[in-house]
Amino acid sequence: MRPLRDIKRFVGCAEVHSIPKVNKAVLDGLMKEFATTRSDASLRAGRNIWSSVVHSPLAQATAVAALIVIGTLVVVSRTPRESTRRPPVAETLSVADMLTVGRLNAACRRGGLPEVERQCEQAAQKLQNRPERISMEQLIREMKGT
Amino acid sequence: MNVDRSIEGPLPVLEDRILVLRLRRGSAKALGRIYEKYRDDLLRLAVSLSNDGPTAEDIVHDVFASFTRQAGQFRLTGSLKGYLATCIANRARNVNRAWLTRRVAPLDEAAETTSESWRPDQWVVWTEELHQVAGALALLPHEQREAVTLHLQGGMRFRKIAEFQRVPLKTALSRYHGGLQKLRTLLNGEVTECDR
Repeated sequence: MRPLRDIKRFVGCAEVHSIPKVNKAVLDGLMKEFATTRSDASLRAGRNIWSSVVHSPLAQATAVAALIVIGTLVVVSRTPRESTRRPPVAETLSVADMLTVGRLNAACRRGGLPEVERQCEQAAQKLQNRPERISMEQLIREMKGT
Repeated sequence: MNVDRSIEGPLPVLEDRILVLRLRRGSAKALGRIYEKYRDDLLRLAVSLSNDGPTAEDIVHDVFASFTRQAGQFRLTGSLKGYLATCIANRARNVNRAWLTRRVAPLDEAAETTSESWRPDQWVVWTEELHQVAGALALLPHEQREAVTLHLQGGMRFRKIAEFQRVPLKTALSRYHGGLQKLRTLLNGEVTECDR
């Protein structure tokens, strides 16, 4: 009886021959299928990106956050700022308050001596409007600026 | 016997990895190279497992077509030849099962099991040795035939064969040795010297 080594060799080296024409035909078919698969895959990839963005919870949360930020920015940009419509100092303060050292110092820091002069002029204008006779109550009210 | 001996050297495996990477990037040349490299080995394996020319041709064609379709997502974890050999063995197993079913199923149901893919006219030319080997292998139980062909013709390690057959390593080894002993009896006197 033949040794096992020979049997292994015999089974291992039993060859098959393929017909070259058919080999080429099969390969051509595979190449066509490969090209079709590639084009389908690229189309699917485009759809998949959109689908994954739409269905991803992270993407949804990001979209909601972006909408909130945009909405907030729109609202803020349409609302006039508090500082822009702040009334001038002369409208809110009494004459006495306008001429305190602190207010004059603040005016000096804001605009230098011209601002100090302007504030003094505003105080003087307020004083010029007063009637010839004034009661004590009116005087106190005027000093308080109410 | 060294069970884990390497059947494929490092260079072919490296080449296969490069080919698969190129294939995933859409290289048709890589597909052509893989086809040329493994076509004959897979045909031989399919012939040995099915002992039928047209069936073997269908199996190999289906495996290559399926491989081509999933080329974009394919990830090579082991040897490419081993992977393709496993695909061939799986298909051969399915075909054999379908054939057994067809023998008892009504004709209208049997039509569903036939392949719808394109088939070449005749692809394989059988050599005398292949006739003898495939004929002898056909007389073995399917599990033994798988173990012998996957190891000797598919170049698979016994560990992989055991995984494929979902049996312990020892069972795969005993199937292989049992099959080889039967082949020894069947092929005694017909074995000729081969060059390899």
